Amino acid sequence: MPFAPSLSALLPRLRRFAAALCVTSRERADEWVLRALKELSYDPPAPSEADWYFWARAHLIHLAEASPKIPRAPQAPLPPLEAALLDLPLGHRAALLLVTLEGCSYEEAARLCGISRAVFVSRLTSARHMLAHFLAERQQGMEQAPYLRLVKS
Amino acid sequence: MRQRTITDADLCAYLDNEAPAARVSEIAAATQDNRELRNKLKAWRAQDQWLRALFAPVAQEPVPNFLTQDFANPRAPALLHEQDKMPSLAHPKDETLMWKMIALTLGILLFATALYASGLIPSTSRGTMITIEKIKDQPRSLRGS
Repeated sequence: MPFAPSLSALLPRLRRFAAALCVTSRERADEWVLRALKELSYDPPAPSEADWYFWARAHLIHLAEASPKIPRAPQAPLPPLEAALLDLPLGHRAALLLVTLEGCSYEEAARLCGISRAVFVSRLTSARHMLAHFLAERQQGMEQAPYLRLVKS
Repeated sequence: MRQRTITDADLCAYLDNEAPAARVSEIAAATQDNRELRNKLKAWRAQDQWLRALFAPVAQEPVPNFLTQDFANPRAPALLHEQDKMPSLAHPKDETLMWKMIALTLGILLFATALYASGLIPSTSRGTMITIEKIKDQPRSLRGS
């Protein structure tokens, strides 16, 4: 990898994307990053940093799809935005995060998800709708019953 | 000219600067006139900002050593393969236990073979062989009895 030293500058962004995809566990997100790096090191070197970063994120999405969902601990409820994000199906979450966090174009994000542009746009629109709905539900629940607490799950 | 309907996909594309140049002014005008569209756009914009703010601190954190140390090294790919030893959360690999079990099985087999060869353990099949040989040595007239 001739551009290895400059890759370290991309790692914080890659970790942020992994953490957002995973939502609940930072350890698991870092493990995905490590695995993605390993996958890239098995493959022939990417011709540019942009290609390297593209494939690193593609591996992360694939790892997230292949990993089992972490059960949520009832003792530590997530903040509303994180909980709503976690409720999104993974494909929808990835689509939303690629555009909002990563600033990808629709074309690039669709290629990263391995779907057509039309399907990607549909997924992104649904993700925004669903997130707004989940957030509203949670905020409404918190306002209506702030005195309720989980006694037994 | 009849105005085209503004779909959610149009609104998304407008928000992400992906709308065709010819449509941008049309969508902008529609969001000004239509309160529902304006609220939807506002809500989505806020969501995007919240998401960026939520995960921004991760990009500011120092990257863990096990992810960074190898990049300064020209042997980076080789070192990354060595990190297979790192414990995995999703798919725990306990290869050490597997090798221990194989070694234990082989040890037991060798021990049993050595005991058998030295004659310390009686074997049913060995006893049968001796009996057959004894019968063969007997005169033919005695075999029937």
